Amino acid sequence: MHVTHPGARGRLPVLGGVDLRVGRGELVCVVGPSGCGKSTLLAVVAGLLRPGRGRVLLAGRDVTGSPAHAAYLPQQDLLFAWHTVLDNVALALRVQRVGRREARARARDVLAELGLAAFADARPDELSGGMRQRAALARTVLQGREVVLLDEPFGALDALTRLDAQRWLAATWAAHRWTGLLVTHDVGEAVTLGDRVLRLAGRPAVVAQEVELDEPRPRTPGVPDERVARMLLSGLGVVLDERTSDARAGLG
Amino acid sequence: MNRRPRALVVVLLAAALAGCAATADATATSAPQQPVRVGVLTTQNLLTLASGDGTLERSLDRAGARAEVTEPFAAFAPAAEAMAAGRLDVTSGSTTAVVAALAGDPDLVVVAVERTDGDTQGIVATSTSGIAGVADLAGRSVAVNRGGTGEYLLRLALGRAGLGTDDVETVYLAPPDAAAAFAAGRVDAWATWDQYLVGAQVDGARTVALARDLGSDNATVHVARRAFVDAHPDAVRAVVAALADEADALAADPAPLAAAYRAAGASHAVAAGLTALRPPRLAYADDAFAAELARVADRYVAEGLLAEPVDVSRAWRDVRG
Amino acid sequence: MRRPRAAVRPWLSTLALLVGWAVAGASGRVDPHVLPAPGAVLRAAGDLTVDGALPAALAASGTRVAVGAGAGVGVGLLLGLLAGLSVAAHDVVDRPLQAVRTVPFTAVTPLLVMWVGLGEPPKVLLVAVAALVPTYLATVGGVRGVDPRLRELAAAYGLGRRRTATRVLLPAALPAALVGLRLALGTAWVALVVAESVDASTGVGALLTDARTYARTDVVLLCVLVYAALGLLTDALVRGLERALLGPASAHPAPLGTPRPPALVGRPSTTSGGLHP
Repeated sequence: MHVTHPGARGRLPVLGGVDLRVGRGELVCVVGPSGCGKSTLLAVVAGLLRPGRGRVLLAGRDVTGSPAHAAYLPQQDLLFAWHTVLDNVALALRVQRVGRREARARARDVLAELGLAAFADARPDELSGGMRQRAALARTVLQGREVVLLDEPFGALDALTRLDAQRWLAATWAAHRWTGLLVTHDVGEAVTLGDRVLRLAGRPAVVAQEVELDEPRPRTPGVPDERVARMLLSGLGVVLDERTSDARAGLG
Repeated sequence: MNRRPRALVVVLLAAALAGCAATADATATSAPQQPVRVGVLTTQNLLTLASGDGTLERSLDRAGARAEVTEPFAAFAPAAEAMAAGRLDVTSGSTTAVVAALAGDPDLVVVAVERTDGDTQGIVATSTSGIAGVADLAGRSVAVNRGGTGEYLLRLALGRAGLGTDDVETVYLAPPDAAAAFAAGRVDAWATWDQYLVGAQVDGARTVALARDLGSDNATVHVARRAFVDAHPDAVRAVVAALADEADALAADPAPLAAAYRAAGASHAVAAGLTALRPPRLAYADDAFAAELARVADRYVAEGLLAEPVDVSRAWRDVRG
Repeated sequence: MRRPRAAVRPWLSTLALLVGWAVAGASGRVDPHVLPAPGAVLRAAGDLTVDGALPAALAASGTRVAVGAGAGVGVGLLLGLLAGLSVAAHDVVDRPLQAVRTVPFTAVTPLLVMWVGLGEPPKVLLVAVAALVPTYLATVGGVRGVDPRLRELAAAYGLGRRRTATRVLLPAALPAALVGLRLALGTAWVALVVAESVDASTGVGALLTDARTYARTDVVLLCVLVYAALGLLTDALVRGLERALLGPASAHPAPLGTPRPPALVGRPSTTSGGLHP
């Protein structure tokens, strides 16, 4: 199963040509500075935005501009204030016509995995930002879609919770054989979780760098690969690895 | 150093209390130059006309007083409220409205009565209703103002025709709303007066019965606050004299009446229709009026328009005596 | 001990006014025509209750508001939803309703009588329109004010237009709509007073008109107080509805996304495999 994405350009040119292929079971992490277009890229892949040029193909099927083929987690948690956390998460299944009892039961399980079992019956505004983000993540993965697109899923978590969450995601990803993209500003996280890491840069953004990570799993979160050093340095414009193509040294 | 502020506070408090006491019975102090507060109605009766053309001012001036005329009231009820609250001294209404108001405020005193040919009040029917006489009202809808002239006239009419209140559909509407409903044909008949009556007639409504046909004792009256009459009889006499002067002037030349109605918004036809009726003459509130007042009050009780009898014996004053 | 006091506190200023009124009445220095004493008003209330006039008036007025406001709010919600979701609907509906908003009731009532007739229909219609406009305005504002990303999210979850409207947009717009509802009921009562002043045969308005004709200031004040009490009652009903629909947090809603000092935050664990509070 691939997600292919030949070229893209937003209305204000946000993305330059981005050509991306993701193999089945691959987790590709996308890094880059804030505002560089990572979220836009994800939205295009999710089918929520139509690119000015280019297509999104899923296993050969054109899904450009048509959402709901992937499980998408936006940067804001967007939990519904009028539902309990449990019902928010259960929504993922209810929209697929699963019965309420079963949906709630499975939602409870996912919440437990993410450490939110005790807050299932609370309302979202009673939870902290990090907890809401975890609940939103639970809602996203419960959809059971094979393609998963995550936009800064751990942005609001403190350092320790983040490590636990990364561990959980790595394990769950492998267990479910998901395919997809994870956008993050944390290079260490990208290197820990991803099979490949893409760095976007420039305005309009293009893939400035693409790195394969072959460190075997399970990896230890918090102890990133040495390549991190290289990524960071090359992001600053210093080319160290002969595998990188034009080092677009855009500002950061 | 402490005594000064405290004394000041005491003085201020005393002044405030004295001020309250003063406003509570302002009428007890008889300041000759306090203006007479006149509440005119929108209808062009003698008081309205006299206030507008200077007749009232001149008469009061001769008595050493002056007038303060308010914005026109649409009806007697709000004017009576203002008077009961001590903000008006003189206003106008109808015999029926006064009888009704006496239920709650016994300090109204009628000081003058307008006499007409009994053709300024009556019941009209729409041209399409087919109502010719009061007997035809059976089973039809009649617009009246609740507890006032209209309802009174209707009850008189029903009495004459041997009908009961169950035999007609009584619709309670204030005159402007009744005018709209009547014009739109929403009611079959309407018991009304003055410019409303003439307005309907000019529009082609059929006159079912006039006040004189029904033996009505209802007239336009001018009332004053009892306390005011007691304290300033001269001023009240001057007001009534002004009304008499106005009536005399109109008897000689009714043109100002038409002009006043036109200025108030009536069409030429309505103004002409009103002028065709004999202008009102002024009478003092004498024994004859006292009898009328009593008859209206009794009628109200008999018709159930008043829950309990009211004492009308003190509600009139012949200011000549 | 804190709870009863907290319940009483909002009423203290009203209580003070009532006490002041009673004192003024008892002092005898206030003309009872200007301000009847509370005792007189209570007596009037008693008399009118005993002879059935007050209960009948309350029933008549209450029915008109229930039917009229019910219809007005319902249509207002529907129109607000439609205008919020569809640009075409908004173009058709919005301007006329904005225009109606500023038309005073007293001007419209005689027109309604002419067009619709006498009796119940013009009164109920006036109440309905008075309730419709604030509900519509609040609902359309609420729907349009819904975070557009929520719509995006709904699309990402595969919710079609209809389900997005019913399961996402309408609940999201509900707080705003409920505020509109409270406003609508207030205006509905005002419209009722006006409507009942025209064709006044039953209802609190008829009681009021009669009171003025018969110079019964105590009954006038009673009617005013009755209207005030009815307004408070319907307001309390809506607040109860808010609590039921929006949860106990509705009294002090915090916008989503504001970080709250967590009373409930779990402590991160250091064990591997899974997260525990």
